[in-house]
Amino acid sequence: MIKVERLVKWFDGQQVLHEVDLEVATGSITVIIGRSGGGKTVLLRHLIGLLRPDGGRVLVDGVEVSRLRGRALDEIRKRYGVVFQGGALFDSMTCADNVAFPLREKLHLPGTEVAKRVEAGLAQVGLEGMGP
Amino acid sequence: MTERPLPLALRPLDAIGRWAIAVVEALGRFGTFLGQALGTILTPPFKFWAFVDRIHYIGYRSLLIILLTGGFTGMVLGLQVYFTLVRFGSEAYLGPAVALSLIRELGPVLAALMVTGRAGSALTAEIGIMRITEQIDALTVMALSPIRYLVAPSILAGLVTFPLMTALFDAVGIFGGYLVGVELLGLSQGTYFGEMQSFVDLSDIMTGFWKSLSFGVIVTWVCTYKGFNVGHGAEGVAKATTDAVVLSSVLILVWDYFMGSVLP
Repeated sequence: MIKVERLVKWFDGQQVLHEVDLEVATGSITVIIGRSGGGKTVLLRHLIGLLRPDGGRVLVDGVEVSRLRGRALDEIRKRYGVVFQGGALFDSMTCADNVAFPLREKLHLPGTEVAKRVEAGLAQVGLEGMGP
Repeated sequence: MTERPLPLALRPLDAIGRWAIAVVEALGRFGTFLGQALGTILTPPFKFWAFVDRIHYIGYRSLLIILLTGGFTGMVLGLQVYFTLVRFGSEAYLGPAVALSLIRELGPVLAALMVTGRAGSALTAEIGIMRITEQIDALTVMALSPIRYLVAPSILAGLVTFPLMTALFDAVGIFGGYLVGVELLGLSQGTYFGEMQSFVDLSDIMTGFWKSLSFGVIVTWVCTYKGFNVGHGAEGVAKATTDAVVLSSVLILVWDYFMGSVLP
């Protein structure tokens, strides 16, 4: 479960989040809708620990994300899947390398297994043959 | 509860205080960034291929500019120093004058400034664009350290490539001085190199080496820091790139003075 309690964030003297409260139950789907510049991305960045709040806290399964640092925060982050607004693909890499990167660097899979999974992943989105 | 406004007479002091705190904070962030990068360099896992890629990016791609500027710096030195020495009847000392100027001073400084302009600015822009397009956030969310992938290999590559670039700059510069002094102005080849051998010793070479090594850290540190802490959008990247080149260049000259004062 994700729980947000009285979350406050300021940027350059301007308050972006005003004591936001939110609960996302395990297995549920929640959509956050709002006008441009309303603080949706800022809220999400707090959930994944990319920003630290000026007030309030973010809890994931009872663990306060906003207080974690280093390895403890990395362990929580490993449970997230994030799709960034602009894709955040590594533009210095090929399409296949982008898919292969976390498999190699995070899961430390052998080359043959990486190639197999990359091909399978690309095929799922109609990009067969773009692999190594 | 609202804060009481300060009396008018105290407002300048308040502004100076805020500015001083901001400067100390910025210096702290700057120092912490280097500390994190050095800590990452010393702890596994090492990103060997990222390091090789950075050597190619910072070193190999700067070769042409180093060869060109080194050659012409040596030629200018050869020409100017020759006409100065002729007035004292000491043109035989052209070789040592060119070599010492290049090895101790001009080689490390000019090579570092050239690499800053070529590779440092590109490094800031590359990391800055990665920041604004959320590629650095993507690494962070994958629980992978952006410092390990982007900063540590660059600083390590700076440590390796700057002394090599400087050595190349010196060698080409000495050859440029030879071209002007010997081939153009008629000094004997034996005099040019013989006197150089008598006057230049290991401590001169080590002075240049230590300078280039420290410039390697300064340039990559400043340029990666500026890229990492870029502002918003294209304008932010442009500003960070300019700031990185200006700050690196100023620090190179300031640090060169201190190194020159301390080293033998």
